[in-house]
Amino acid sequence: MNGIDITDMAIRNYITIDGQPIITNTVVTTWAIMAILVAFSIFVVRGLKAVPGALQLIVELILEGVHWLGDSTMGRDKRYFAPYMLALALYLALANLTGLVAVRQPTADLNTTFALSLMTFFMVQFFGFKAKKFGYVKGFFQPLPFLFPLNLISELAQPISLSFRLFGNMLGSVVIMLMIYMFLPMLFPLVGHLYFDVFAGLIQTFIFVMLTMTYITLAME
Amino acid sequence: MENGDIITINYTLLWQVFNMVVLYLLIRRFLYKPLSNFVRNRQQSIEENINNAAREREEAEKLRRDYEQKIAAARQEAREIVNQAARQRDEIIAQGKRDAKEQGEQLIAKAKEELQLEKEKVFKELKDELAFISVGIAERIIETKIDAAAQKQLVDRYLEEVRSAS
Repeated sequence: MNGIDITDMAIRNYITIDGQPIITNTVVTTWAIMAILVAFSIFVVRGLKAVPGALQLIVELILEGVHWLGDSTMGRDKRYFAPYMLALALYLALANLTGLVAVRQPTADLNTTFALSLMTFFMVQFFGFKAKKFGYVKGFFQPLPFLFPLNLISELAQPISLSFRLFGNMLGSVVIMLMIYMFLPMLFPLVGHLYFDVFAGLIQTFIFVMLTMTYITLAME
Repeated sequence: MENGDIITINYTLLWQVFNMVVLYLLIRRFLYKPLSNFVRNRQQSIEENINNAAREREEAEKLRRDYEQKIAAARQEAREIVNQAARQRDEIIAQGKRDAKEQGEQLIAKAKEELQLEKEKVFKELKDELAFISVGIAERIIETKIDAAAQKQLVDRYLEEVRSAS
């Protein structure tokens, strides 16, 4: 049907060893996004002017947006998280928008979202422990010691909920877009892309970054 | 190229962790640091410029007030100088008039005095002369022994002589 196959929603494995995918289109797309981001960064930074042009204004807006979000959720004293949040936001935004150029979103792969949420999880544990030392461990036994299992479950649920939220949204986008292309190939994909890729993609980017900031801040305070 | 599953965890997870760490380092190195430094520097320079401008405006205002005061003082001084000059002029003129009048009066007084002296001298000389003439007349009278009529005639003649002589 129009050369569109239901298996298009699956991940493509470019290289497999013993049936285990080693390099998939998720990884390759991520590399492409990284290359684009780095090239773009170098290009923008080279062209920095005291009186900014349109491009510089947009990039400054993104930077100030990350600073503003970080300052308001984490506090100004935690600005050292800003580079990571900027990288995360840029990567997620671009990854979620790749659907617009007919590339399967890397974020529609659980490996990507789970990798990112694991990084958030370990950052939470590391900075929480660093900030409060054993007070952080003690926090798991509060308000009452026997609530430790619940606290532990809620802690472990964080990366899972974080990763599945983004993954579910983007996989849903992939599936629904595929269905729209199969059954309503005229004009409707436009609306679908606008909603599922641009709107949902950017919202999910914001939510992921925001939650990462919130989890880290909660652990540190 | 083969299609994999939709939901699995495999080596891609490790790749993506690695990729994210690398991307973080690259973004920090190539975008975050230069851009945030640039923005901060610009912010500082703008703040500096605004502060400088405010300070300079204040200084300019102060200078302007100073100059205005100086100009006002200079105007005042000029007015005083002009007034003083006018006063001096009037004084000089008045003085000149006074002096001229005084000198004129002195000259007139001196002239009158001299005239008086001259008059006195003339009268004295006239008196001397008159005495001498009288003596001459007396001598003649004695010499000629003439009658009253002749005497009168003689005197008249003599007086006539004197009148024509003087």
